[in-house]
Amino acid sequence: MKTTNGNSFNINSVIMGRITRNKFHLINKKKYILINNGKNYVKGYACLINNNYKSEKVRYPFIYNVQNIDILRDNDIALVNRNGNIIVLFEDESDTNSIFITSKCNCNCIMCPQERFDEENNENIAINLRLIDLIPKNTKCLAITGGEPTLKKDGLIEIIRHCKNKLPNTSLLLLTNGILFESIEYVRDIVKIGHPNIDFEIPLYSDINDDHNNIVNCNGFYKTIKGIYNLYLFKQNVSLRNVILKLNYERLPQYAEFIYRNLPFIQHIAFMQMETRALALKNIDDIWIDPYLYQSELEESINMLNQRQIKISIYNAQLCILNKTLWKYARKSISLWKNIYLKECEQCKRRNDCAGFFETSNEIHSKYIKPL
Amino acid sequence: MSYQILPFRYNRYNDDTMFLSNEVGEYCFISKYDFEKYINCLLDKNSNTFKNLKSKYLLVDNEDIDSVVGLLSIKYRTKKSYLNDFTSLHMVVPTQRCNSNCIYCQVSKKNINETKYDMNKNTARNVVDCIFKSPSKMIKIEFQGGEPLLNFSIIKYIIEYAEWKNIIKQKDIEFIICTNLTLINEKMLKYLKKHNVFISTSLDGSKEIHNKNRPLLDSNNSYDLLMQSIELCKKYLGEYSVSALMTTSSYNVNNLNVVVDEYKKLGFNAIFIRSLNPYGLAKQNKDQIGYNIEQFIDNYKKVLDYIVNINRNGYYLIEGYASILLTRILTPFSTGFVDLQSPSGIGISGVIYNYNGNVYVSDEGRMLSAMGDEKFYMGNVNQNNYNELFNSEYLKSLIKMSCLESLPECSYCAYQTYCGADPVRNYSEQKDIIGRRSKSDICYKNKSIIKYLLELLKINNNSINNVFWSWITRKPINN
Amino acid sequence: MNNKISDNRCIFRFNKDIYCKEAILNTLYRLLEKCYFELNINNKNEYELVIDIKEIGNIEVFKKEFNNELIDQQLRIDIENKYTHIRNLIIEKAFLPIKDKNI
Repeated sequence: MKTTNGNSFNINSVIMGRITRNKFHLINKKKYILINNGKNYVKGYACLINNNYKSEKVRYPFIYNVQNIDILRDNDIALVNRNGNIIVLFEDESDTNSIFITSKCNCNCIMCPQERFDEENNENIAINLRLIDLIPKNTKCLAITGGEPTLKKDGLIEIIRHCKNKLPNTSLLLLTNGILFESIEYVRDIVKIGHPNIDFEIPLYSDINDDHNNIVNCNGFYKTIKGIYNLYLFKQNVSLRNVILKLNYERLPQYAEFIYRNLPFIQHIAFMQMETRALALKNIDDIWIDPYLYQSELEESINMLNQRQIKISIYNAQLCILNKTLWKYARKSISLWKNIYLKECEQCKRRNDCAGFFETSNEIHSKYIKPL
Repeated sequence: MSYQILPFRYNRYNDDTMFLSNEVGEYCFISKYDFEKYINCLLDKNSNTFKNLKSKYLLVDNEDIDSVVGLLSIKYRTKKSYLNDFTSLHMVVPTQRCNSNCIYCQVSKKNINETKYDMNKNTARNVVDCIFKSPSKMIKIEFQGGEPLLNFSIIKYIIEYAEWKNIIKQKDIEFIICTNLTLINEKMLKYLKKHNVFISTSLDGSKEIHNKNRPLLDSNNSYDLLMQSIELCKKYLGEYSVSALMTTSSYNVNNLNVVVDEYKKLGFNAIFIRSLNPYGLAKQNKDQIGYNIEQFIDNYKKVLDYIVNINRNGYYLIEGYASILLTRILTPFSTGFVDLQSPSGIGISGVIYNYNGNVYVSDEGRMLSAMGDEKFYMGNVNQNNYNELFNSEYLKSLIKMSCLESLPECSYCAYQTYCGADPVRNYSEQKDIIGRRSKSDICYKNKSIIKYLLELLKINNNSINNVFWSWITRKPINN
Repeated sequence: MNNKISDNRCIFRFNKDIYCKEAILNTLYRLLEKCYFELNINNKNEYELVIDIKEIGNIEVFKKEFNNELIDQQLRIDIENKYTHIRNLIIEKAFLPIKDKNI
């Protein structure tokens, strides 16, 4: 998420609103956070932000001395708090926005790129409900993520229901390990909400239970598969994702066979290059393999899935290290705010089609990057 | 450290290799050496062999038995899911009269003026009523004969009555006519177009071969007439409205490539290489038009290679029998082909209603009755109700004797999940519904073809695999 | 212990502890086209199998074929004993949804 900060004034609790630089809103001012670099004080907005100093006369919620104020784009939705933090929860320019349910997780994936927060923010659900109120109605898609969203069953259900009511035209993508969906009652409760367009995306890292469980660090394999079957029983759309590591690249072809033999109803599989931060960075020696080196296994696996008419995407992969036959599956999947290219990429003719790199990957990438 | 073997069957593929398959058709080739370790629970858990066997549900860690039994039961149910809906294929014989004079005629046809062998309206109505009692949501009504078009009025009657009944029943109905197309005309085609009826015809090869196999009563040139009719059908019903199948006789068994070329020339995308069934004239004239099973298999393999190469060179052509077997070998799904099921599809997947209302468990059962043996007679729609026909002890006992899982030799055969029981054939060849595998041509044929397909799959050639998958998914490979 | 009596006939004797009746009968069934047989239990409590092959002169080949097939048949029975309970569980679980329904 994009974040910045400044000094807060008159802020007692969390404030949320849409960023705007327009001083002349006539209605719904309370929904907006005004960026106002100047000495004019404008009444009625949820909060004011500027990059210079405050005036003593201001009685409204106010954040001043904000750095990098330009990262706050109009119509982004931000949260500000009394510490002066400004957190962008929804980026207007992005088509991959998420609702973050909880940072807790019932797994401990060896390559998890998510920072763990020790404190659980108990107001998460309330914040998310307010966020959903503010999200534009024409938003195409929202991801629901975490940690593991299914750990907060009541909150998750409330959020999905609120999306159904407030954003009926927005499709939801629930990112989950599916372990708790081993309980058919849980799946039934989700389906009962009646959201018209919700897809489930579940990671499965191997065709072998031990290999998958070693990656997720919990006994999840068979539970996840049972969860997927339960979802299918209720006719839900399920997709898989597989992050390719040193620990699982060799069995990519057998993985393809396993998926088709056991989960032939899967809508889509995403093969992903890892984001090397947080736990992934910590465990880098155990998990890193140069993506260039597993291209033949990846290609064989994708050939097999193609033959079996299963849809595929490749996320986070650079075109120069992918076999050319696989380019049509590569997606520009990296969130805008952390998407960068290298110096080598300046000369590359394919730069605009290429996913590029994670800024957050601490400069760990393939040794074989070269301009095309 | 211990693991449990999961149910499997095996055969010795060659001197060094064993072929293993499980209850849901997943398979594995392993060395004799690894096999020994596998069955004695001595495989190294970190070895690729162990992992491959685990991935294919041939073994399971002791602590995971419960989870895996649950998953396997779901897969097993999927493999048997053709049983769910009961009878979906209903063959109807509008008349036993025929104007063809095929040398291998299996149905003991009657002369074209013997109209007492036509189905009447009363029977037709009872047939349709019976069909709609089937719980299956998908119904395929297939007109067979004789030559069905000789009694086109009853066909129309049946189609219209079925459509009328379906307003309430709301089933998924498909009509198909199996015809020699000699009598087709514009008026009939307009009718068929209006009611969305498909056509299946017989094409046995080039002009010379086809005319030898399938002369008409009044002409030796059925080929030219067939070509004209096919053009007419395409004009009125569309490019893909006609499908064809062929029958192998001694006249084309050694020239199957020529037959395939003919199909390609006419733009067909599917062919079914069928061997001769020992009924009617085919049995009677065995010496002249028959061939032994080894000859068929030899030529089948050659033509299969030929067809695969045609696909590799860019023309999409499915071989029907191979594509059914490949679906059984490579996918978790079941197939609805009544001859390759366990329990057999007789009565419970497909059934035939003769012109006089007599109901038989299969088309072969009807052929036997035409030869004088009513062994497979289930009843008559004009006298018996649905329950008496389909819920009878008679049918149940037949089914019990057609489960491969409990037939001698089949019960331990490694190809069991890919194969099916053929009780009618066993009876007709061996006078025994259970039959002895070593005397069964069908067993020999299936084993040989399945083994050949497995050999081709073992090579793991990408372009051959692409062809096979294009047949299974019914989608041509996009290059 | 096998004894060849003539070009067409031989006698097999099987220790009941090693080979079960089912394995012997399955093997015979497989090779029935090629022979006639008589199966008994002798006074040493062994299975005694008298084989007359139909095709004259090939008794040695037949003996080898028989022994190889017998090993496979016995092996199949032994292996099946190791997993038959699991197979029953799988099938029972597969048909659970319709177990008590009146069909």
